[in-house]
Amino acid sequence: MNLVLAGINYKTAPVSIRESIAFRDDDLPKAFELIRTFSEIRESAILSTCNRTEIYAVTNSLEMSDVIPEYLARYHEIPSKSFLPHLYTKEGLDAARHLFVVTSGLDSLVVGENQILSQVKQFFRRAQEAKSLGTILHRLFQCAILAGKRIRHETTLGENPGSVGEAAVELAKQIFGELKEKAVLVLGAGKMGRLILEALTSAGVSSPMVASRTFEKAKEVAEELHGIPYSLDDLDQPLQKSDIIITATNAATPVLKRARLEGLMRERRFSPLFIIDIGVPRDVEATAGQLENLFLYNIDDLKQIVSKSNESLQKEMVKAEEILDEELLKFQTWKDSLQVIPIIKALTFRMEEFKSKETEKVFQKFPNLSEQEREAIENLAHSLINKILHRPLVQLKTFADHPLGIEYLEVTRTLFGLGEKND
Amino acid sequence: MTSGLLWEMAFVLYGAANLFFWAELAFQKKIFVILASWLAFIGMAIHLGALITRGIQANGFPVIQAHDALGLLAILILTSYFVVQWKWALRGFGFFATALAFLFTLVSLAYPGDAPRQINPELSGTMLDFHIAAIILSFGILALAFCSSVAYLAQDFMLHGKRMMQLSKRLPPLTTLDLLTNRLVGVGFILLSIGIALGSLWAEHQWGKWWSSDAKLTLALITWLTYAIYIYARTLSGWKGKRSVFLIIVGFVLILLTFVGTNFLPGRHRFIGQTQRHDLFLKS
Repeated sequence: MNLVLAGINYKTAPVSIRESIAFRDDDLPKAFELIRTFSEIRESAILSTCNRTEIYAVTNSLEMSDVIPEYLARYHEIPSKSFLPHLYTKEGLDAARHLFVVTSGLDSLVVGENQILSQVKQFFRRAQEAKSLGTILHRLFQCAILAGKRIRHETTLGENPGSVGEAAVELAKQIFGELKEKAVLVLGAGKMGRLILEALTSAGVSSPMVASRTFEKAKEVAEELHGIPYSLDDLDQPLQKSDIIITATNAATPVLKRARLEGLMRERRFSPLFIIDIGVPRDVEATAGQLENLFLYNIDDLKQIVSKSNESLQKEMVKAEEILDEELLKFQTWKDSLQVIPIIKALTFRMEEFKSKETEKVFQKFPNLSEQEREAIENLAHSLINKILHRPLVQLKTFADHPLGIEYLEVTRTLFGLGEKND
Repeated sequence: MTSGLLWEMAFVLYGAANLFFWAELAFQKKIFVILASWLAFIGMAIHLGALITRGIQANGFPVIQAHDALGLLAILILTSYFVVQWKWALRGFGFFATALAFLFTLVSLAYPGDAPRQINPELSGTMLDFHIAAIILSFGILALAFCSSVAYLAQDFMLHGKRMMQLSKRLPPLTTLDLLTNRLVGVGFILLSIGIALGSLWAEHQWGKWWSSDAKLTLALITWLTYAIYIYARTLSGWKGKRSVFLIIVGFVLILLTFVGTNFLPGRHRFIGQTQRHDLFLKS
């Protein structure tokens, strides 16, 4: 029963690699279907955002670290050597700790951003829906989300989530100077896109034009952002008008191709165009960045601009790490208790407790009992408990090698309230 | 104090100002900008003082020597720079302006001025003075346009290549530089046109002909055309960005050739001085 993790993130792989093994939300059911065909994998969860793709799994034995790369290669139909150099794997507590770190935003491009927390929740739900979670991953995600929430509430890390937005504003100012009245077009509006838009809006850009796959969706988002809706098929006019474009669609192929942008730049008479592409896979053909007066920045580029060295940030980081370790310890204690011997010990101890408590009660009620009678009562209690425990204990011992052992152990614990302090 | 010493002081002050502007780009301390600006300003004032001294000695507008013309150019670049700063308050731009002023002063020192001499009466007159002043002022402004173009290219290089983003923040925004270049060229071009027209008028008045095929005149015409093309491209065909900026750089190279290069070619616009060929100049 081993917890393993394999993945790549913005630190280990460029966006081109990341997008090659990213999972689209719509494709997750298919992805879980394939993962189920791997008999070595007992539990699994997928976490795939624009900054990372990670697969958490509980496998039968430790020698299973190849399974996940094999799965990724097969699912995405690419040779595993294309991403293996970028892949990191972790096991056991390290893997658990990693999810805690990710969930609390400590591993994010912008440290402390809390978008990742809702993303983890969302992928947790997806895995639940696909019934791919078992006891361990279920508990792991719950604990990680709890840690993330605590860090968000108890530190100030989440208070400055606009850093990517600030970086975008900074860049826009380096290009345009004054941002007042600059026209912004938003293609698809994920949370990160909104974050950036918010920052730009507070820097003075005019109300955004919003385009989405369907006009209805665009209308919905536009209403929320106080913008003007357009359909993705009808982009000519908004493209011509805009100075800044934020693309964050979920499309599998680039929405804005180089040729189109080339034509656009000519029509715009080469007045500067700033494109922030935060879609993974990318929404704008990368070579478009070479076009004159077109400034194309993707999430990796923003990463380099966001500077993380900030004294107060460091202090909050320490606080966050403390919370994280505290929560991780809870998870670890729980996981350690999910072993046959401790459970047997706890169970027999609990029964012994019942026995002595209940017999003591009887003795107090009838103080005049003879020595013999007392012995008989004690024996009765003893054999009663032994009889009751006999079969469960025999069964419990087999759970060590049982495929559903962990689940049974967890059920046992819950039924008898083991590990809880009081009745 | 001799004007030569003042001249050298100005030169040193320009260099120091440039170093402080550089320090500002590197370390982002406001004190450096303040220091640099004052050094440049004092340098400019001293430089102007030196030039006026030479003018008084020559009893006239003192720019018939390359030495003086280059010095005046440096002064005018900085004057234009301060006017721009007053209106636009650009960060990091002083580095470019002082660098250019420093270089021109350096070259002016390589053309040591002769003692200021009495100006040939044939070469005096308000119209001629205005001709020279307008042309040199236009060169100064166009040189500043060259500065903003170089800054533009640097900014474009950084923003496009996503390199040195910290430095990029310390230079003026791209669009601002583009606009500034455009404005400077507009003003510079008008002055250049006026200068050329005044020269032509004066030549007609003095020598009875509007135009003569002189190296400097020909080059000046090509320079004028280059900037005219820039303005046409900007306003009528809507060029923006790098391609139009390259025209400014070509224009500036032409200015350099017109201004200094033609001294080595025959023609009536040769500076007098070091080359000791003022006889030629006077004969024509």
